Amino acid sequence: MTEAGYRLVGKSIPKTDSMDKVLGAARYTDDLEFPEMLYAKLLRTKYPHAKILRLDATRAERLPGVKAVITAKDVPFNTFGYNFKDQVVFAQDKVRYMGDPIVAVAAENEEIAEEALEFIDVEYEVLPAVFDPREALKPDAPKVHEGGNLCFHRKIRFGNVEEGFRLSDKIVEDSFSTQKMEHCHLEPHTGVAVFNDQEGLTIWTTCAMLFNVHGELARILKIPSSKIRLIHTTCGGGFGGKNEVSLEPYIALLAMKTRRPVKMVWTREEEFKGSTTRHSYFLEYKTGVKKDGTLVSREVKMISDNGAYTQLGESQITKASIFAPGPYKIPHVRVDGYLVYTNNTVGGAMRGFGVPQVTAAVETHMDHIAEILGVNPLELRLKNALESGECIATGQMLHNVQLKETLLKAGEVAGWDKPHKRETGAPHIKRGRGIACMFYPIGFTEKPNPSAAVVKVNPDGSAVVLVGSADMGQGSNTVLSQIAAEELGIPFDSIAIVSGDTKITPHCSGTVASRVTYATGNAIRRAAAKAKRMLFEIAAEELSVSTEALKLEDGSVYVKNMPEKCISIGTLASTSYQLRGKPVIATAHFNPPNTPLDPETGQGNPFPTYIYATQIAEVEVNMKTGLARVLKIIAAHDVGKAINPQLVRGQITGGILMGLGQALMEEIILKEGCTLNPNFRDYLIPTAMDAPEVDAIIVESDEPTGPFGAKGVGEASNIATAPAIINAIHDAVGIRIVELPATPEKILLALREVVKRG
Amino acid sequence: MVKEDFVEIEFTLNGSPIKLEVKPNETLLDLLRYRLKLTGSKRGCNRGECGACTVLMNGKPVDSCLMLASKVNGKDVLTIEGLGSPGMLHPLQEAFIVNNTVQCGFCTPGIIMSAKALLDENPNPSREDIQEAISGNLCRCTGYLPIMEAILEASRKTSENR
Repeated sequence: MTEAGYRLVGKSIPKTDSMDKVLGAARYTDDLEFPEMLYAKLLRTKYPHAKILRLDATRAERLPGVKAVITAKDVPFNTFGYNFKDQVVFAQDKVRYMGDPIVAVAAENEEIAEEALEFIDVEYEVLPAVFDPREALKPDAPKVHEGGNLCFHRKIRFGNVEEGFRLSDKIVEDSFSTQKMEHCHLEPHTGVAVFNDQEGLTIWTTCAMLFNVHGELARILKIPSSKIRLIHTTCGGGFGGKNEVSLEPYIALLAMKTRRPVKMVWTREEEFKGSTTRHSYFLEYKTGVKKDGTLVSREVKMISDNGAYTQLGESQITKASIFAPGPYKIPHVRVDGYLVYTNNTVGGAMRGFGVPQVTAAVETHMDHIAEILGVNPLELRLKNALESGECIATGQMLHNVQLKETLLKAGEVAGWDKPHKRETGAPHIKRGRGIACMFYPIGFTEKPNPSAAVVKVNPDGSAVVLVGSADMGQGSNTVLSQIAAEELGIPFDSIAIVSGDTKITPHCSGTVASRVTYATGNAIRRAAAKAKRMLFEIAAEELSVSTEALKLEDGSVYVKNMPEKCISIGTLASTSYQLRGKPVIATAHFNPPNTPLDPETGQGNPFPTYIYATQIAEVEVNMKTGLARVLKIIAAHDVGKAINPQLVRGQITGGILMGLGQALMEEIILKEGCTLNPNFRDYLIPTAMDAPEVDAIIVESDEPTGPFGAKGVGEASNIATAPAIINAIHDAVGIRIVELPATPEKILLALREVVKRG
Repeated sequence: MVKEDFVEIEFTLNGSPIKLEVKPNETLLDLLRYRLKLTGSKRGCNRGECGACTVLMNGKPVDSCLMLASKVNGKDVLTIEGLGSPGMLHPLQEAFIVNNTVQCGFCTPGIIMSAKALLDENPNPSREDIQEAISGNLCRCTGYLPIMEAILEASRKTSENR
């Protein structure tokens, strides 16, 4: 038994898929083969903005081994998109960014498909293009879409910022920018489609919003969604990069046309150029503060580069706008978030969904305020930290807020109140430390996002759980099995989970928004509780007592205080099924409660609950090379109840390294819409050599609305890392990097400026 | 009779001798994955930058996506499939399971092979030795720390058993 009498909740059970994965036996999508399988490739445009004057693929069609060539005219309904239907399966009249697909080819092997692309003749009329979202807002800017380049404007209005500035002793202003990033899941986008008349269309894919893509495909193909089966295959990482529609329409259309299985694997270069990226931002902060450090008023204006299409962009800028003021009580807040079309690579979901960008800015800004006021950065945060019963700028009152706990815990472990070692023995290498806080929500922003579950108890007392949620590799199937087994009172090994299959499993809004443990976990717990009730009713009849007199422990139902009167779950399940003719099966769903935001004021309750964290970074900066090296990150995270602490720590350490990449090295470099570094040699992600020591501290709380008190963790882990590192660099050498990432070049230039200014 | 444009090679694969014909431009990774159906070695970038395709050739880690199949003639090749089985896990595989080292698992086979090469050469590696040995293997999920822990643990266990 663990604490609170739980058998399995709170226990670090090893992930159920680890054995297959260490043996090399796990079957990822590219490991699937079918007889007669064809291989597909996409022709993407070479211009960021151009009219297609002529498209002729006849030479490609005639190439031996080519089995099908499709274009826009082969698509029943050519547009799609989660927020707005503004994206095309194939560009038809015009192309809007350099990844826009124009033609798809299926051939006997990958080489022939690749070669066929060279035999497609496209004649373009190049159009003027726009690459800077600030330029794109000007009236004479080239239009990416007919409706103009302002895609969406999110407003948050709370109090009166002008009045707040008048009441302040000091006004602090800062500008920041954050970069476009790539997810860099090691497994590229991969899919296999099979079509036949009896089964319809079956697609093996690793998308995280399976049921959304399912609906999109039904619209694109104009067939009932019941004829489309998406099966989530073992996934080699997602981080938001596999949320939206990607290669599914192409392999679907090619499989339907050729009636042969079709596989498509994107190259690493396509991942950088043709898949979604983290939205880049320009941000301006203005904060009014009292001499004692009390925050009074904060105004944020930010412009985000949407790229050519929206996908989840509107949801993303909304979330960024809600979190832009930071996790602080501020009576007057005004946020304007502008999402702007450009002819750049498409922005999409990436771990943190807008919040890493605004948190990098606001937490650097907070340190600047502390510096101006001459107060301790930790004290400034403690003084203004949100607490239970207080409101964020959408007017939502918070409950179960653990921010101060994380601040105090991280500060204590880091010895923040003691002076830290600055010298390193080498005069040109300086050491510093920095702090940053963050908060992050569970579930979709303002929109319904249910998860459903089916729980079947077999006559031997084992159980099958069906959920639509895909395990992206983070271990959700292990955690969800723990929740099911705990509620049913049966051993962990007695649970079999079936997940992510649109034909078999119930609906799920996706393995996104850090929502699976909370939303799907709640659905499973509810369904399991219903199944348990059925078992209790049988037990009550068999033991001639009322159900209230019964309790479940160690796989058996007992009469309270009479342990000799007991029946095992297996006996109850078989009695129910075989003697009473009642199969023990239950369904339930959970929709995280939220309300939409008012379009003019941004007022509403966008999320059911929030998670909080503080991270402290220790960094060394080499003043000769400009290289910043992170020595240690202390990370105190509120996750609600940690269902599986080892998996929670895995999310924290993994996320921190992604945050380190955001802080110091990762950036998609675009020149006139063309990605100049579409590979791991030129786009650097952290290696083992960059990995700092991490002290991952779980600050548990009991979330009343979560399953066994759980909230979540997935996206919270990388958010505070970048600003903690940036603040540590400032502490070490006195420079504040306001354009991410803080590359050696930028650090050296900033150091030179300091020398110049004397 | 060797087909035109094909090269005949003989090598040891996971302990067993094998003889076949390969195309001159066929990579070892393609040979393993698509012809021999050993799909444990992964294709993450196909240009020697991610390390997901790492196998051992005469005990040394190589990116099989950059190695021409014809070059393994006469060599000894070990892939993840040859390292252990469910009842007979290699200490590295066991340590990777226990330490929650695996998330998506796409990098795992390559990292385990790099770690095996390290432990064979240096049974008591330092943390720095481990960092260097796996620096050519990218992992996006774990932050590498559980991986380094697992390799350290496996090294301790193997030296105890010596």
